[in-house]
Amino acid sequence: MKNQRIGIPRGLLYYSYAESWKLFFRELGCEVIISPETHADILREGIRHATGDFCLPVKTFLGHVALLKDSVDLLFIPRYVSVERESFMCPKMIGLPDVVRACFTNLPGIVDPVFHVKQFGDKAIHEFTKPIAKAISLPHPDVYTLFKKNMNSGAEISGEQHRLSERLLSEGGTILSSHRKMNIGIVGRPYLLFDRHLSKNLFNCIRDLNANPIFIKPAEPDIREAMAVIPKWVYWDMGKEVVTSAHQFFKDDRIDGVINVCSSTCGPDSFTGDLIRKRLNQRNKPYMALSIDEHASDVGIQTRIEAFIDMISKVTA
Amino acid sequence: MEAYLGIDVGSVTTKVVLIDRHGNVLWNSYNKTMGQPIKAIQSAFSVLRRDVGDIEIRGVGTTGSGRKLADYIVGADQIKNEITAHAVSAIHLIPNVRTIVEIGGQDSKLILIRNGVVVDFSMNTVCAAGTGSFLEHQATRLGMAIEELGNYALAASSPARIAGRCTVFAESDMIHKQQMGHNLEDIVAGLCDALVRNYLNNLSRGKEISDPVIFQGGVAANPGIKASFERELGKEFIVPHYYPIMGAIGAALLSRNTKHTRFRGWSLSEKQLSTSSFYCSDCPNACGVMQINDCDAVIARWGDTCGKWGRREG
Ligand code: SF4
Repeated sequence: MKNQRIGIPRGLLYYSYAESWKLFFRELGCEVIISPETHADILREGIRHATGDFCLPVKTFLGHVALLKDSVDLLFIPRYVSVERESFMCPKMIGLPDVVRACFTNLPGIVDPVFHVKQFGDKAIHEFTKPIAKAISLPHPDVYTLFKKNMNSGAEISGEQHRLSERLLSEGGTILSSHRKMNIGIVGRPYLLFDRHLSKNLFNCIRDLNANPIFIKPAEPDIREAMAVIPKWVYWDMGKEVVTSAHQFFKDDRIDGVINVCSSTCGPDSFTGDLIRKRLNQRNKPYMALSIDEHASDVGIQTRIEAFIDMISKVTA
Repeated sequence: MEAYLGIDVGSVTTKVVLIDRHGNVLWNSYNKTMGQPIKAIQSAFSVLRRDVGDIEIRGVGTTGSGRKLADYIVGADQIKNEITAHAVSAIHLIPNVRTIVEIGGQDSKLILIRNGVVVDFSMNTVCAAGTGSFLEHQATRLGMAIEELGNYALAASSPARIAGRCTVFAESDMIHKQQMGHNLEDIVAGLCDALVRNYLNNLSRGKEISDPVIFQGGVAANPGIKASFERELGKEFIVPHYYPIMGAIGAALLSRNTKHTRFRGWSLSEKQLSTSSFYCSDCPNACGVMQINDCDAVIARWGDTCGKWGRREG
């Protein structure tokens, strides 16, 4: 069946896989409807529908579901359990389709395929695409092929930030000179960093203070190197990227300070935050954990960022 | 006379100071903001002019959550966040300071200093359980003035243990303790302990509080809190003479390197200024946009995410 309207809530893994999901469904002949960028009403709706004390990104996700659910035929809420053999997604992500079902009545159909490399190994994509094929009534082999073809398209925003950051770093020269702009390494989960409402427009805020926000997507060898420094492999997905970026930033002389944007009620973030602070910052580089919750005011965040940049510049009277 | 002006517009109080080139405080005021920061600044200015007479302002620094608003009204040369402003004044006063504990009306800060520069900080703006407004609220409930609270606390023989993780809990636990028959002194002391525990839980995780410690901000007026901190940490807390206006002093100190001040003179502060706000309906952000009006003319706007309103007019 073609021309189904597939709704994708703009939250959580959307910020990691948006591009590949969009391409995939469009090529399958579906109409893809994506909720708009988070705004105050979406967050409010999410908080209202949350039946438990979920973290801020999950509450936000629920707000996007609320906005989409009545205007689509199907909601795409995949259940990512593990994207590689030795790591797991956060439990809230694993249970996401169940959380959504528990918080709403009158939902459209939900396509919730399971992505579980630890269990299915090489067959993970095969298993993942089965329920999708069924939901949109297309032959499984075609769906499988299309997904495979598009799966590495990733996400636009983080990729763009990454390319911009690499350019800035190469232009900025490798030596610390007093004339160059300050480079602030930003680490955190994409769905918090790149949701401009949740992160209070962090990237722009830093640019307004005449500094460069730098975001990198670490490569496989970098991850292995960072994991060797800490006592134990980080088995939370995204946690590895967060820890590795922090490690890279701490040892890179072109980076003047590191901000770890975390959600105040995120379990994995509290572990990685501790690891970063205690184990990785051996050179005592300026570091700040910027914890975000639904009460955080724009002014409060702005004040912290300003103070952090003053701290790096060693402002005195 | 030449002088530098520092203005700290906090959510609860507005502080204005005048200092000389060396950082000596010539004049200062401390008033409740009462939700009307413009009025608070204007009335401080009129008292200042009456008290001090003719002065030439060479630089202006603003700080506090209303620092931008203050800039729009008076024209500032330095618009500084509270953390830097507090650090600058503490270091000026006690050059070897290593820790600053600051508790104000709505927020609290912990700033670590090494060798005269800030090396780490944390700030709490969400939970009021560790701040001045919480104390004030409880004092009112117990039928005493906020100034009396400290002396009650110091007179306690065995402070009650009050669960103070949040204001609501603390309040109901205090009522419970009163009903159990604890005396007022022990309850007030317990309240101070709860506030201190809260502050430490929220702000000092993994941060080393080392001597000398300066305790500033409005709550430093309370000897009960100071005693609780000292008991809990086994360290002396130094309360500087100008504890409630340290932020304003810091802002003024920072303005001393101004060459040509942007100060708009006193006349603007005498105008009939009013603030108003509206919700923009051009996009789903529905930003609450604030504006300052001089009669019918809008002289400043802010609060928008996209920047379409925020440019200063006039
Ligand atoms: S001020 Fe700008 S961002 Fe805010 S609601 Fe209006 S158009 Fe949207």
